[in-house]
Amino acid sequence: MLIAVEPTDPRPIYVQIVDEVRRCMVMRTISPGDPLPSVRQLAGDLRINPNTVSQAYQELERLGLVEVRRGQGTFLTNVSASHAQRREVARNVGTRALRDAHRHGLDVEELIRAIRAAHNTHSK
Amino acid sequence: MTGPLPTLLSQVPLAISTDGLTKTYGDATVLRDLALQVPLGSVYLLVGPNGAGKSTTMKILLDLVRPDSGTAEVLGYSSRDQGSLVRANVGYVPEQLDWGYTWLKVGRLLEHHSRYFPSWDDAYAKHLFKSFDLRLNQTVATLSKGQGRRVHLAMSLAHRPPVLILDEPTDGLDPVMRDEMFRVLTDHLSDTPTTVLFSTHHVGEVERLADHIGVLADGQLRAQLPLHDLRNQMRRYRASIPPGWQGGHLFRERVMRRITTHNEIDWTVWGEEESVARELAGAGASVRDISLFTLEETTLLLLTRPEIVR
Amino acid sequence: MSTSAPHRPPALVTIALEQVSVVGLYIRSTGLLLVTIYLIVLAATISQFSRFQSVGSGRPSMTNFTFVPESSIIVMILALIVPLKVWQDEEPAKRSYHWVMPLPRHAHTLLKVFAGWTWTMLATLLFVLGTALLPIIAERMTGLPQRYHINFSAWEWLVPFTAATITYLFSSTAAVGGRRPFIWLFIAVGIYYFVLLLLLKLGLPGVAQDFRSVWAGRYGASAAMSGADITNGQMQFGPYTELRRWLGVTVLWGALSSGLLYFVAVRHRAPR
Repeated sequence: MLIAVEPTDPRPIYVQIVDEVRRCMVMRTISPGDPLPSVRQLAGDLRINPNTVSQAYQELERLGLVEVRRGQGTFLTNVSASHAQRREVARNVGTRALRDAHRHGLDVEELIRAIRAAHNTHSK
Repeated sequence: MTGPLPTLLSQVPLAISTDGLTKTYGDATVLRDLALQVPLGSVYLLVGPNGAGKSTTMKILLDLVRPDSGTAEVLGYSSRDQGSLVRANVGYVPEQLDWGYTWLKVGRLLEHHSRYFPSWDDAYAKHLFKSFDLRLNQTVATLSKGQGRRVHLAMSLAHRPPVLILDEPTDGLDPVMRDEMFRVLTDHLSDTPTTVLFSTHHVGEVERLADHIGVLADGQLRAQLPLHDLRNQMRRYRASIPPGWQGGHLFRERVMRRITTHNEIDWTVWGEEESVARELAGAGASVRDISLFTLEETTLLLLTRPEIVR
Repeated sequence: MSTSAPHRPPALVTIALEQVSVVGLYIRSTGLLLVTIYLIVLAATISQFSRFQSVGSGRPSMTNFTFVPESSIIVMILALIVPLKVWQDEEPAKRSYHWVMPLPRHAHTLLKVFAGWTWTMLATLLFVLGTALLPIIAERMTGLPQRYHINFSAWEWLVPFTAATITYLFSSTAAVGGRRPFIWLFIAVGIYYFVLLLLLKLGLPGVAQDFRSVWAGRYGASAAMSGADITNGQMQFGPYTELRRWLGVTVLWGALSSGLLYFVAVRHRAPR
């Protein structure tokens, strides 16, 4: 599972981790029942504060996406593959796109038209 | 108050705190009424230009230097009255590497150091030495600056202290070694609950590790707050303004940098993004762009803006 | 977030032992050199005994070897030099590495002094044993009785050790207290003679004599530091010491030198 975080992203790092885990779920790079890397492992790999990773894992647990098994680690739950996660991921992507559009002076209608046009060009 | 940014943390348990710390060397006031607050379990980054008083503050905490006035506390122990207790609980990497025994082999120095800290973990010390690419049979006098710093860091981590005080720990290390050092530090934090107070010039590299920041300049803290808040509340707004716009007074001292032309403003404002944007829009400005800063840019901004004195 | 249990400073005994080890390492090369020289001198002396054996059947002339425990000027010189060597690299103002250690500074200083003292005592022991053995070996090899048969009280064997200790304490005080201990030595000597001359010039020979006796009298410092008996202002190396005098001198100057050392160590206790 490849997780990347960006300090200049407006989202706090722990939120980025949560979103990244969601992304991996939707992309099916991880499946229900799979273990997540340990806090130590992830913190070390990303060179981030272990507390931040803990916070992310706690949030994932709160959302019901993972469960902690004593002495074994953190594992993905069956909830994770549901449509709700897909919608959540889509919402994040959409929010980012909208933000970017606004920065370029575009309104939401222009953005939707541009997305459709790009999609049509791409699929040809 | 020297500016719009918060300089005092809300009620949290503190590992390190100072109150009214003042230190003068000759006619140079290095520290002026400093109120440092490092929360328990945090990774606190202290930034500031050279000579700002970072090293002096750390030395005062360890009772290596006495302040002219004010108090300093580490884990509830008074630095002045319980200095040896403080030092027993702190892993310290000094800015100037000072070896008591230049004629010793590094291995013997390690052994020497281990006697002073009953909680020394020898296996861990050896492991750290390997990670840092250090040899045990080298004489201390022949260590390069970078090697010396790595030795100091290894020794400070090996006894797993509750507090780490690191003065420019990456100074003199190449990028590969710096990265390794952060990996080691991150692993260490995963294994041992630790409060870290450190200073560095390579601010960008520690963005992910630090969760609190203190910006020290001219002996005082321009800002002291959780890193998350600093990231969230510093934004650059570019907006077009109508002719004769009357909003020039908005936000007052919360504007860190202000460029105003006849039809555009480029302001760096401290505040909640939504409310600032709303206020600008409400005043008739049309916000075109809101951008974030890297930590490096933010600290530079905080350090170069002229100080607002009460 | 919790932190680990608070750490305690180390036990003083542990540090005392560690300082003995480290100081020993530091003076090792010099020490080995001196020991080698000493052994060579001993061996050379012993080799001379056989000469006397083979001189002939007539009365061989050979000075009697007299070993006197008090005659340890060499040990006194050693005790003077060891602290200077131990503290050679460390000026009081510059000992930042040690100050980082979780010990009160003055405790650390005193433990280091203690470490140097143990090595000084070891050297003294070596010296005493070596020179005590000489008459025994001489008698064995030459058949001539040596004067070491004179009864030494047991306590007289302690004299070189107390003398060396007092000398060591004074020298340590100078080494710990100032940046250049030699200068302090010169200053002390200078002041002594200056005051002496002044008193004589002022026409106070009685006071001058009293002042002089502080150093050179029967209970004077020089007696304490050398272990020699001072009679009528003359230093005598011979088994003439009285227990009472030795005790008095040792306690007096022992207390003084310890007190001075402690004062100097504590003075550097707090950083600037």
